[in-house]
Amino acid sequence: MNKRTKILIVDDDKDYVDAIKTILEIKNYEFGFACNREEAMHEIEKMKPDLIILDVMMEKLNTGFEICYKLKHDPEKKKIPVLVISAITAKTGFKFSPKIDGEYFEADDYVEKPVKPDDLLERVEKLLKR
Amino acid sequence: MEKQNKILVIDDEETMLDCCSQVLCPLGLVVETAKNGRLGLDKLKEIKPDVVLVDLRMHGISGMEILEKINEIDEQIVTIVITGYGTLESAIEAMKKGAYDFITKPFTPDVLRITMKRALDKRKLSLEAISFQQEKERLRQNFISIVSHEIKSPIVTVQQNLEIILNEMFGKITDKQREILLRMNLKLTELKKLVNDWQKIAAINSQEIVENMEILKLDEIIYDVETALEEQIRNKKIKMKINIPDSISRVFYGDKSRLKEVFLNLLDNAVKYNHENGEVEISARENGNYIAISIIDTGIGIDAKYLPFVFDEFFRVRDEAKLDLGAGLGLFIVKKIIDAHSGKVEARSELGAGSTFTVFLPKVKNDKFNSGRI
Repeated sequence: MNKRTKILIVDDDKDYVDAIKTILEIKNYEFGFACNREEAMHEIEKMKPDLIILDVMMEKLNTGFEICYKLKHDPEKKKIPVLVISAITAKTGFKFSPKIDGEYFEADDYVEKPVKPDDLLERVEKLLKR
Repeated sequence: MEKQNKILVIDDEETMLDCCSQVLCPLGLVVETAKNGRLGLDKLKEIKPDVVLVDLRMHGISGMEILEKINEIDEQIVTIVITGYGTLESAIEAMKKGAYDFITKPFTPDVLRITMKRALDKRKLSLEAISFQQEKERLRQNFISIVSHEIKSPIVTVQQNLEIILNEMFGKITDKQREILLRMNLKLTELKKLVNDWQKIAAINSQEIVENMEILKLDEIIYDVETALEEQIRNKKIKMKINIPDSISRVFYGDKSRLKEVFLNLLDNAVKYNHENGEVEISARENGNYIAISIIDTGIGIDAKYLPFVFDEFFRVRDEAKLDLGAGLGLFIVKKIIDAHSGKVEARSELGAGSTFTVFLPKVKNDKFNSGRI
């Protein structure tokens, strides 16, 4: 494959985006960024990412949920894997993961912030292989 | 300009309606009339009055029935009942049903004016109280969400960068450097937990909990909680014993996510304050009108002198400072959630032998269960 894999990082904390990018940069990925729902939807159209890394709390407490819902109910875009990275635990009042509270969230994978670099790289690879 | 207050007069005597209009309109009030109970109810829904004047004795739908309906439509509508001479008893009954005041026929225009003025003052005050309450709640919720997000974001970003250095992605670090970085990371984790707990406490709302109540399977909740703490249980080689009779599942109800939080906190403590190779038993039984669920550990126990305070906000046992104790909000959260369920929680302990925390939750009533909804 000669085309670079494209990852869109959606998070409103620029410094956090930089940290994630620092980790993923050791692979030869191409990056895009968005810090709110509007930008995210725009970037998805424009760059057609192979994977989306998504935060939950942005301009609204549930921006990430909204974006994810929109994607997963779109016949085209629902194929794009979504990895949620978030510090949120309050939505369900319980530490949630697709395993325990999967009914709330249709993301393909979920990991709590901060994430171990090896763990992040592994999850990204795994989702890209699908 | 202040909006004009709307008055609805319901009486089957036409002259009475006219009299009331004549007295009240000059006071700058919008007066609507209805000549029987049914029309009155229609008007009530349509114009949403501030004050309703209603005759208790009417043909068809009685004033008493209207009074009940008013409470269903809007509790804040102030009602004055009109009673006939010598029917004080029915006036009292009406007041018990929520009427604000009564006037007895025949009455002078002054009596009507004074009573109406008081009723309007009452209406104004109760509307103000509600709007202040809503505003206060909105500010509180917003403040907490925004502040906790704003505090958590930088903590997490710092931790993420620490992880990058600890992972030696950009060069080796010495053991001493690692130790220092891990210490920093731990402190940040504690700070984050404090913010999380604070956010949780603020989010516990009795009204919402009551609305979220459903019939639950206790064994499933305990299983989920155990799964979430799998690692800690394994690391400490804790032996788990679970004893939940099937019959409990039929009468056990509550807010699922909040109760998970309760048992997560209790089981976490039972593991954290346990010895290696210790035991934790979770057992449930019916106890009068309650379901009693006990979490029994064989851990370090709590000194009797501290026991009465364990559910207090920010309380922690000072003698055990060397243990990682968190901010002392866990049991406070437990108590707040259980209180909102109209239950109770109890702690027994013997220093050195272990502790037993028991949660008492009201049983679901049979009639509620049969209807399928709570």
